[in-house]
Amino acid sequence: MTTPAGFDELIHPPTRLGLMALLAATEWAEFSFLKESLELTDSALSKQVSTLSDAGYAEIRKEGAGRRRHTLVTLTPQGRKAFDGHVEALRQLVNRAPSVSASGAAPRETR
Amino acid sequence: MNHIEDAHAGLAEVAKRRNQAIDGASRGRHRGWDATGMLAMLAGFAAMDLPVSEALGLALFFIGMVAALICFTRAGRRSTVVMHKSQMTGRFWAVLGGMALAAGALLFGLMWLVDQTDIPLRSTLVGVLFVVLVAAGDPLYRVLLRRTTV
Repeated sequence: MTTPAGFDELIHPPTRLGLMALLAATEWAEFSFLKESLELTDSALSKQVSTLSDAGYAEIRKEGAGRRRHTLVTLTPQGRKAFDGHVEALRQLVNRAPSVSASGAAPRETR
Repeated sequence: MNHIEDAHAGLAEVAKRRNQAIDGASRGRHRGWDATGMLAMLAGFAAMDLPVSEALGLALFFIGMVAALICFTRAGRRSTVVMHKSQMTGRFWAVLGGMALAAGALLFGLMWLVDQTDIPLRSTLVGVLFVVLVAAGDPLYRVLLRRTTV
């Protein structure tokens, strides 16, 4: 089966997809919130964020000082576009399901 | 078929994380600013019980409400998560507007109810009841909010 346009291998692994989905729904999110939501350790999340940052999909910003210092993560316009494209590609894959499974059997409605 | 199951799982993951983000936006609000907003609201109601002219009482009430609005906005901006505008769909505004209308109706109901009695500090009592009921309605608001993007 051909992969639909927009499918992004970098985004697709479950943890990164979850992280991208969280970031896509937010203007920005605190590192602590992402860590709790994804149930990751600091280092594991840092690694995922760095991967997205290196690809130009995410930006890291530090605000405040001392005890009130926060690390904020946000998606770049490029990251948002890639995520939207990937979700669209997933939808296309799901919608293709009837024609793929129609090997003699009647196609099944997905929507 | 693995690709399709994988895609299904991916879409389910995206939906789950969106809900988490929306939940986080309301749960992660800055508590200090929210509490200050509640106090400003209470102070606004209490101002109506002051032995001053009705115009001054009303002016103080509106100042309290504006201060509360500013505090609530700041609480949202200082949240651990801020919702992206793409999540603010028509359904989102409908829920927000519906909750605001319900709060307004509740407030008028409380004022009417308290007006039937002759207890002292009536406006303050309305303020306290209103703040308590708004706080109690927060879980319902979160549930409704979660449904806006599903």
